Amino acid sequence: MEEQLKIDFEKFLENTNFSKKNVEIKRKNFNNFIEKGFPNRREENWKFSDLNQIISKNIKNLSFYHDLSKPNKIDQPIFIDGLEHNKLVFVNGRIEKIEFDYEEKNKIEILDDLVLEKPNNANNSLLFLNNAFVSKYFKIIVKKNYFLQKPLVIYNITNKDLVSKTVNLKVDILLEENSSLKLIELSNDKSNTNFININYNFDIQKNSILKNYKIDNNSNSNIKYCFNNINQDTDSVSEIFLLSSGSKFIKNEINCNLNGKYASAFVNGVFILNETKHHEIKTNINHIVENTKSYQLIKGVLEDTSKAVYQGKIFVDSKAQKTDGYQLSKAILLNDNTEFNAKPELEIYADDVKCSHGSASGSLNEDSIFYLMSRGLNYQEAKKLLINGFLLDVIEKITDTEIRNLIKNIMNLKQ
Amino acid sequence: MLKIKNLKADIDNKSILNNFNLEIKPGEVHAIMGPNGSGKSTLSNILSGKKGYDVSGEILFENKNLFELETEERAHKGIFLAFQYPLEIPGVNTNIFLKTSLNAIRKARGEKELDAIEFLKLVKLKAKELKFDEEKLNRQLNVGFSGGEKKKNEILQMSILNPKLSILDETDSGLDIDALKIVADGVNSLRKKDNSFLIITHYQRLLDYIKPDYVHVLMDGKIIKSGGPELALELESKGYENFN
Amino acid sequence: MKLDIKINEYKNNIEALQAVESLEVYRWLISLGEKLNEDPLSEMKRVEKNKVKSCQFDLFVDYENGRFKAWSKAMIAGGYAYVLIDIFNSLPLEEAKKTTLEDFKKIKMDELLTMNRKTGFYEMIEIMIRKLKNVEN
Repeated sequence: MEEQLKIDFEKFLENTNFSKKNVEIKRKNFNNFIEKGFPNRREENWKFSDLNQIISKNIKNLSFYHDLSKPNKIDQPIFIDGLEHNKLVFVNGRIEKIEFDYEEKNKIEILDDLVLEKPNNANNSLLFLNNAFVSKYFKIIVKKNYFLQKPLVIYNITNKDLVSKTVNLKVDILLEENSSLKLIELSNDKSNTNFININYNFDIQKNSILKNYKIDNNSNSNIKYCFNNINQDTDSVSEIFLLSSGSKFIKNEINCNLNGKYASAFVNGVFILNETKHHEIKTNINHIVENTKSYQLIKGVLEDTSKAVYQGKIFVDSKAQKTDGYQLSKAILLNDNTEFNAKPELEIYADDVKCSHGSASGSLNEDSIFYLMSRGLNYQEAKKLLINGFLLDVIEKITDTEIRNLIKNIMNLKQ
Repeated sequence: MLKIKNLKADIDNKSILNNFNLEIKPGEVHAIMGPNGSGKSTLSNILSGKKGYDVSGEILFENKNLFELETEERAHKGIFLAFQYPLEIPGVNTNIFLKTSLNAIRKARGEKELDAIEFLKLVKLKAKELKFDEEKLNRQLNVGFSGGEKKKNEILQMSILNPKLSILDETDSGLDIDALKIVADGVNSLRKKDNSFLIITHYQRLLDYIKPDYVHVLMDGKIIKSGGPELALELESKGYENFN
Repeated sequence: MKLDIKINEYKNNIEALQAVESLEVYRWLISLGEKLNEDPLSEMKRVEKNKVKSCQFDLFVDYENGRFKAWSKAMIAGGYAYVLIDIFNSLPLEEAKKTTLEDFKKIKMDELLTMNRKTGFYEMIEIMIRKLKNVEN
């Protein structure tokens, strides 16, 4: 694979015209990636999801470069019906459509040809890979005091042209003071066996609100990693919801820095897995200053031989007095061959804090099923009702009514 | 309507029911009284199709072999069990559940399903008749309901689903007098000449309000004596110990 | 007035369903859309002049044999079409001719529909009022 990497990287550099400085930065990131390679289970953060093994088992001849110069067609039916929204459409990692028809033109700034200026500091090999191979990245700025009228949906589409390829995508979003954004990320994969590596960075300034809904719902055989870094300033709110259900493998990593007083983060997610799917949600909530709060609720329903992992770390700095940090995860295992791993971590250096974590897993309550069947529902119908009932309280945490109904619909149609 | 012949039921190699016989005709209300451990719950579990028992013998429901029917099929055919301990099922909206249940049964019978509004009208009507707070139906199934409210909910379901054979499994347990009267009124209002009731109970009290046509005494896994309503009074004054 | 009665009936139905659960209203609209297509507008009447243009999907309405009929591919549009057809058909001709857009605002269908669907809803009402003008008493 290293050979292929080197060939593809040179091909990549040939097809772009970076400044000398940028090429240097790219090379540095590239070499860092070569040195570390894909994460494997010997790395603590990846001990439940050996990505290196997953990729080598599922993708033959992974290549790292593909031509982004030619435009792709977008299939109309992909767009969400019944929800008026702004659109950003990526096909195979290439931006194909930018539509903010519902918004005031001067309130949103879109930069689509940014090049990485500074070298990356984090010790994350997938970020190195992303930095090495992303040529131009996206930045969306929501201006001070502006609340978007309609949600923004980022469509991440892949089509049949993509096989055994790596797609790297980087998007930065800045919410200036007192602004608000509802962001839905919807993936639609008509491709097979690719590695998709996405890097989001959110800067949420004073008093701003980010609501982010990540929906991975269509069954597909791609392997995905999505890193989300969120920096929150005073009085800001981030509300994240994850529907983790479609891809063969996906790890969503959420790194949330509560840098300003009274900032709060809400992370809620559901795993609905079948077959051999393996999904992970990893959160790091860093309470850096006092009076910040975080709440996490993750639930999973696992079938066949699927596996779900939830690693939740809460870090409380010594300055972060009056922190509230709560975390709860629950899973229903529909048979003995499924696996749910929950690893909570509390690293607390302040003494006036309220933190807790909990986890429980079990099978469907047979008596409840019997009760429902005695009222005329067959086994499948009873099971579905109980599973939906189990997941309901996570869905109810979604504050936006329209989007909550949309997600309820998406989930109902699934089974 | 219901013919039970030589029913034998074991669980974990222990014999619960043995040589159990019973016949119920349309329009009749039968009461089965017995001490704890006599097999009352086992009987209702077997009639509703709960798994886990070793059974032999014959049960015919409207001349069809009941053992050939799964639990939900028995509901489709018109058997309803009012549970002794109705379960709380979080996350399931009561109203929507009842509609799903009613329509599943109607569909199985070849009847037209009710749409949401038609169903709401039906529920409103039945809830009013039973003095059941309609608002509670918008909540999760039995969650936060008191014992009495859960039992009333069972009777409300019964009135909506309109079963042929209703089995009340110790419905009176845990109820105060007022709740008992409401439940009894509900059951009595549903009595018709083409449906039947099997009331399984420990105490005679409920039978003051729901007058049975026949009373049977269940002890050691079989019916040892059958008679009219006065048998219940006899049992109450003698006690189970002295009955034999 | 019959119109008031019908409008209130629908308004109450919508409120009752919303009390049960937020999605119930939409499921109900979809079931009405299916009902609409059980007795739909005949195929040859599904033409340009009978089309509700602002509806994203095909929605046709016309006056046939003394009553309104409609047909739609989309279930939610079919749902509100059923409601409108039911209301108009229940009125005596005199009263139906006197209806205006304003009357229909009372149903509160507005709150349930997206901007696009709302436009379709009101356009359909206008088309129906227009068609009634050509009907002999």
